Amino acid sequence: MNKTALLFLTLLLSSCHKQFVATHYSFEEKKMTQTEVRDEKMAAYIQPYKDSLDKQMNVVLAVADTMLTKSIPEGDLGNLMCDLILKKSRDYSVQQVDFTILNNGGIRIPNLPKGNITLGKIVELMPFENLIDIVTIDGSSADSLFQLAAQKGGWQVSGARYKIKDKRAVDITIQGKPLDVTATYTLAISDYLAQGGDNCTMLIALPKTILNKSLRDAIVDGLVEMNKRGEHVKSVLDGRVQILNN
Amino acid sequence: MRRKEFIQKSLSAGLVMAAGGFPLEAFAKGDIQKITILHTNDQHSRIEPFPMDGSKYQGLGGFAQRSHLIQQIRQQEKNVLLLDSGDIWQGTPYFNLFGGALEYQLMSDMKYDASTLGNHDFDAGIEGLVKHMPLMNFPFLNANYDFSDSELHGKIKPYKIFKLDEIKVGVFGLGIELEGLVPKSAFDQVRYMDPLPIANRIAAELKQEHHCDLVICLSHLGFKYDDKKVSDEQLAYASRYIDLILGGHTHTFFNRPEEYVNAAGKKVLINQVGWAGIYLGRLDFFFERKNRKAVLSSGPIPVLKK
Repeated sequence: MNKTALLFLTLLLSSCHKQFVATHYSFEEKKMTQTEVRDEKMAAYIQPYKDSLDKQMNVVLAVADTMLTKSIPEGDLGNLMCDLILKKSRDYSVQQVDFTILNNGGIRIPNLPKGNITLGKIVELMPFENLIDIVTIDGSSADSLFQLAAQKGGWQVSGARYKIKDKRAVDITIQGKPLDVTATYTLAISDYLAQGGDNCTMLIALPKTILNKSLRDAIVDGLVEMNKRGEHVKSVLDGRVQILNN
Repeated sequence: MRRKEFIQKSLSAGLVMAAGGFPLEAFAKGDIQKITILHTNDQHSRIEPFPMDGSKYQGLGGFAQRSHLIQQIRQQEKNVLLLDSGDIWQGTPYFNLFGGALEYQLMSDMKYDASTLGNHDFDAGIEGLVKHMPLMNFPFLNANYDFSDSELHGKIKPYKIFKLDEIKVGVFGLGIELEGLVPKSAFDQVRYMDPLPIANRIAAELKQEHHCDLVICLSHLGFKYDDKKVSDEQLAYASRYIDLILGGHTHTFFNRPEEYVNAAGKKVLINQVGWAGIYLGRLDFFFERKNRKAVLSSGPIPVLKK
């Protein structure tokens, strides 16, 4: 994977003060693989931090039967996160929550590996301290939110389904029924998005309740409950977000 | 094994260079000067390599591994600059548990020369930066955030000039618009300014007033976007005096530096090395004394194939 090249570079500098002119450059990208020798002094410095971290983070929350993957517009990792966030938001808020939506930038690792799911892995998946907001959203703003999600390539959802055609969201359903622009829905979403992050400006002015629980709490609590029930994490891909070709 | 391959390729590059017109004695006489730029971006607190768990980047990265490699390169090369393009923080429990102190300590130990601020470097708020920056022995450079009303006032300089042998390298930093990316409370009183006019002004100052032989922009703007959002690509086209843009934010893996023609008709390079310290980027620049006539004719030399 090392890439080396020698290229001609015309960086002719105009100032008469210049003594030197850059004429060439070469480049190389060094992939840092497992076989790389370590700076043992630095590794020793890191070790006590690692020990402390491992002690707190190696707690096993649940077991996955298969590796889950971040994928756009729909991935089994995003589906798991959204399903858990929706379920736990209902538990935390003690009310009916219709749907949830998660921006792809909120999924911070490409895979959740098969086998034991540790707390550390979930912290990497969702490192931010974002709290869950319960937003009362009118159908028209909900439509704008799905249009944004479609324009961004397809955000992850639970409790809703939509298709993407020419970067537009179509066939949007919430709780199995077509989106009604005159209706009002309840949305569980990160406070980051609820405050307008990632272009979610349509959410800023909407009425909302901040839960004292983070998105990560929902995922951790949801996984722990699954584990208690003896349920393993499985891949769920049900076509909730699809891209339509012309 | 990998290290050996690395050295070999470096040497072969050197040999071809000599064949391309640089007599080796020119290096000895000081008519040719070489600067080695090493760079990272979006390290995201990836202190240890990704674990061997079957996931996409398993086994890759690691601060102690990078530190060793950098030490090796410093033994071979006299004029090394080690730079970073922001988002040092956030992504592993190291940040959640230790607040970012370890990242700054280890980068200082590797002798980083400069970094710029990414949006996630505000994830512990202004207080987090103020608290941990004393652990750094390298500066954060940023030219388009106005810190005058914040606690960071006077703590972040727009640029720094490095003298390596006879070569002067000017390095400045640019940051992305924080609104919408970072909670308002975390970047309180830091005002974002349009990076393009500022970049042109600073780069001109570095080249014309400070006579820098090479001007490098550490950018956390992102490589390019579908919409009109300001990016490294836009910066490259609009620039006049920048030679190299070392980017970040979009986590883009480049196969090779991208070459652009700037507003003055000159070449400008952009490079970015993905994220999480999976790669260490390296660019070697060769300078000739100006009174010598250019040895090579124009046009790209074919990429070396090993």
